[in-house]
Amino acid sequence: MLEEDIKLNDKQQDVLKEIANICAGNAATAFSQLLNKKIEMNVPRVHLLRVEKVPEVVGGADTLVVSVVFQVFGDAPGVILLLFPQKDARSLAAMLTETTVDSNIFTEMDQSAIKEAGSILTGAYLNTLSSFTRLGLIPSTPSIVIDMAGALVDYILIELATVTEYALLIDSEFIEEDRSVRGHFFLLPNPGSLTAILKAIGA
Amino acid sequence: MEVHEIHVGMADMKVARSPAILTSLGIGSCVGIVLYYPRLKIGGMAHIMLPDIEVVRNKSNRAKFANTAVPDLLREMEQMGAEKLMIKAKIMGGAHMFCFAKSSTVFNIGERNVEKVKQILQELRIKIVAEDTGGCYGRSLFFDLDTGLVRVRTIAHGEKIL
Repeated sequence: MLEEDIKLNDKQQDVLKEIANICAGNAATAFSQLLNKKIEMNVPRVHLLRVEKVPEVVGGADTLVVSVVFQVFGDAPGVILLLFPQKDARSLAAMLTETTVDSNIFTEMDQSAIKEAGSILTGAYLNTLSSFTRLGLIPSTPSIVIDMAGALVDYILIELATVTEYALLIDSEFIEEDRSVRGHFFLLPNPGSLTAILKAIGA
Repeated sequence: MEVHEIHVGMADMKVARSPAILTSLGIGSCVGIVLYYPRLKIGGMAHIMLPDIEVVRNKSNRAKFANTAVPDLLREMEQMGAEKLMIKAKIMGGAHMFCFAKSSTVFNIGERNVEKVKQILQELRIKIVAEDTGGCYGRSLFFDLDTGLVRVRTIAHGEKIL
């Protein structure tokens, strides 16, 4: 059964969480330097679930989200997904562009700033993962999507769905207390990549 | 009184009789298909992810694919007493979420989904009476089995009644 094939044992779960913790830690530091603010981080969570359950985990199928998406190329391909609730993305954009706009419209400038923040987070995360696993990992240029979480996720997972029933999500949450910006950082390794990562760290 | 809402998830399908509202939220490149049999107010909704069950290894979920979900939906409705001749279809979704990523085969999955659904419906001789597909935005569907109308909600592209 395929289900058995990709079940993670406790040790593998722990190892993945630990790696995610270190990667996200470095990403948080980079983010904190960019914003010149303290960034809190929650202990990462590892979800292994049916592809069709992913929209629920990322906040509900028709929730409006602002998302920065990267494809990851190299030895362990996958997708990186940064998700912000609309209000939080608004505050983040305001912080980055040093404006205080209250409207719900994201200007070119706002979108570009959010993408840039995403690139910095992703760069720091992947660098750490790369030096840990000695796998070559290269992010694509960022794409920004402002739409329903479900619509975004189905698009990302649809290709994955042809090869597997399951998706692995490594979820790290970043929190900036002052302006209360919360964002989720998801790493979704392709099925083969999970094996590559686990093998590289000897788990 | 609030009408009973029945949620149809991703890669899922449901059939019901009025009064009920079948909903499917956040459809991107997936396609939402609704079939309606007005006389008995029987309706069905499927939320498919991929065109073809034949090309994948794991075939456990027939509701995930256009070429299995649509015939299954029809069969279930017929079992409830619907007559195929009078069943009409509406299709929604099949978006292209990143507008700038020009249509390579990998990225126009939405389009391929829509094409496959149309082909299957044609083979089954079911007429498509309304369509809201393509674009680069998500859709949420609310299918009222009393009227047979589908409300299509989007974030930035307004709301339509089909």
